[in-house]
Amino acid sequence: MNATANAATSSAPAYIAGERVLVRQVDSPGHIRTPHYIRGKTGTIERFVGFFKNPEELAYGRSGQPVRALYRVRFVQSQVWPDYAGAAGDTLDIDLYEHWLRPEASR
Amino acid sequence: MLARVTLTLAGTFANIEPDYRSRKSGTQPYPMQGYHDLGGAAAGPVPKEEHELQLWEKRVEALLVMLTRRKILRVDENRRGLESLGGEVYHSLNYAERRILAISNNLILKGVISVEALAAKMAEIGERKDPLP
Repeated sequence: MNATANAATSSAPAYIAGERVLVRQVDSPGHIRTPHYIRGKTGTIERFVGFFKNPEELAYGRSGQPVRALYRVRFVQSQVWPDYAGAAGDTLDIDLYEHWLRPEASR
Repeated sequence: MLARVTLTLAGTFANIEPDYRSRKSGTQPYPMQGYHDLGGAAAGPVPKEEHELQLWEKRVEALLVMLTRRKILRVDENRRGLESLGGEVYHSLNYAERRILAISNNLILKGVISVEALAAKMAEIGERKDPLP
């Protein structure tokens, strides 16, 4: 996968660093890369990583097109795990595809 | 292991439900949650003993590298193969066993090898005095 080459064929990413996003709460079949524990949680876009072929399509031998925007999204650990025992400021970064995110306001 | 692969290829692992037994009590298992999606599951101590790779296990990795470089198999397809073995089969096999089983199923699915040819080769190897030199 070549993020730079793919970017030329794509529109601009929908989110920028610092925006608050909600991970879609969907229990779907298929080759999903979004872990269940993070669905329905709210995080902050840490960075736009690039455009990549969609692994949900590649997994079944298809082209993976159109490419999808991938973001590194930062979550506060204590908001992810109700019984989190670590430091209050601990965070967790997860790479998530744009079609799994919604603006926080849509909650 | 070879016998187990033969059994699996014969289609005996149908209808295995996702395994939620290791999930932390109180967490809600989702119907579509795969056995590979373990975040939040209860976990004991991490086993730290080293496992020295056997020659055949190294060959499995070499085979996978060759298949992906020649664009016969994508890493995403291999992951899907691993995640669709069924929890019971997946957890009963070691790392390399899972991978060669997923590779075999994918190559059959893609028409690269046939069940008959693979079964015949495995039977032939099973006859050898030293199956894995």
